[in-house]
Amino acid sequence: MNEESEPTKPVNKGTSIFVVGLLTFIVLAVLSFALSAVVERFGGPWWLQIVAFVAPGFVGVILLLRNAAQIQAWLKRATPSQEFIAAQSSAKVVNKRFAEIDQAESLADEEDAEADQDNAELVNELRREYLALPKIETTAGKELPHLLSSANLSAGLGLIGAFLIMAFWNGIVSVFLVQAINGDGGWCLRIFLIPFVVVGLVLIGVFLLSLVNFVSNLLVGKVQVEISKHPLIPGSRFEVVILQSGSFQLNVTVVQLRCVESATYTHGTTTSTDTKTIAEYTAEEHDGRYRLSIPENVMHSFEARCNAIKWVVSLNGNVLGFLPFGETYAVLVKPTEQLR
Amino acid sequence: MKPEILLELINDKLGPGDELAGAFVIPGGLPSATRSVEFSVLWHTSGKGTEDLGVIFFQNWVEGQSLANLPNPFSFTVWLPQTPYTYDGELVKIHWVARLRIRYGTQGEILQEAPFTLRPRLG
Repeated sequence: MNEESEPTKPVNKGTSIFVVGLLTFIVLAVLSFALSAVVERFGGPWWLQIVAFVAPGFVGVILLLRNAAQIQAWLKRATPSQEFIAAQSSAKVVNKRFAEIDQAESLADEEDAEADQDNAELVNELRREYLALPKIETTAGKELPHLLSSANLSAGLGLIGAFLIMAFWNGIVSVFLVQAINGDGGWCLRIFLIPFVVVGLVLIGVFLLSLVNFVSNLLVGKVQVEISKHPLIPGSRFEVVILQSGSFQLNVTVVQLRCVESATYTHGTTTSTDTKTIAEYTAEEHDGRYRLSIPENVMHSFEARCNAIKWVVSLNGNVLGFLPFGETYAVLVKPTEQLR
Repeated sequence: MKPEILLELINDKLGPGDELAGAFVIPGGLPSATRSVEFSVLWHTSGKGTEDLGVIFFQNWVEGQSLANLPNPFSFTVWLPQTPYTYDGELVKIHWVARLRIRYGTQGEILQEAPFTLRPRLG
């Protein structure tokens, strides 16, 4: 750390832009109402009241357009950098880092051996931080130490959601469809309805799949996955046990450890998330237990606001020989601590 | 004309918990009407998703406050955390950089970066 200058306390300029904008709007709104009230008070004609109400906003817009370049420059000047914003949002980490390193350095000046030891411990604490790692916790298992939680949406909730969307869409489309079938609207309406009917059929398909998934879950009962180690460490091996509570036997066909990249992005007003499985490791079964290993050079779990690298244990199988069943369980892959 | 800025790292291949050391220098001095100088060490993502960014070190010098005290050259040492590792995936990529941002005049801005990798030491 350089001791010649102190870090400047961040000032949130983004907030000041918002406050100035809000104050301007309030002033213009108050002016509009005040002028309109004055005209009414002195018995002015109705059209003058409208002019008095609209004029402040109109003048405001003209001034805004006339000074657009200056306002843009002012906004750019007043907008804080992305690093500034990020440093503010993680102020505890950054300030803690500043404060603790400063404290460590002041301790280093002392000759006391005990203080030197405290100093070394303090610096090591800073180097042990795991940033952008998701929080995935397990509970105690029955056969193995860690019970995993399902990463999937509940089958019941999925079914209700699919039903509501399907019923809403097809309910509206059916009104027009009945008209088209009765001959109202002619061929124009029939052709116009085709894409809406196709979407409705797709939604029916999604609902049927959700129904099959729900029935499979109902027959199989609660499926629990337990693992021998957690968090998982690259280069290690671990065991998986699958327990079920339902009366129909789940026939597990494949158990895998999968790494999935997830990227969320916005186009206009639509926010979408793309996922891609980038690695799959299939388990070997041995006496009802599944053995998996993670290669040494894989990426650890990572989670930020719009991007993530997720690790999951996935199991696929069927019930009654034909109803498919699939479930995923989130796990944390955490690298071992490395300090030189 | 933009002023010359040198931002250099002693080592650009680092492991978790290592110390990042380097310096920046502005040989001709700060541009006239400099408003702020910001130095940060950060990770950020690129790829299909909206960019995420995490700052582990941030120091700024602002006109009228601390800018007059900006050391030129400025040397720094920053302890790196254990994660996230530098990563080059299909949808997600993670980069580490030391970044210097200088804002001057009404709209002038200079951005200088020194990338480095944070990867586990093998063996």
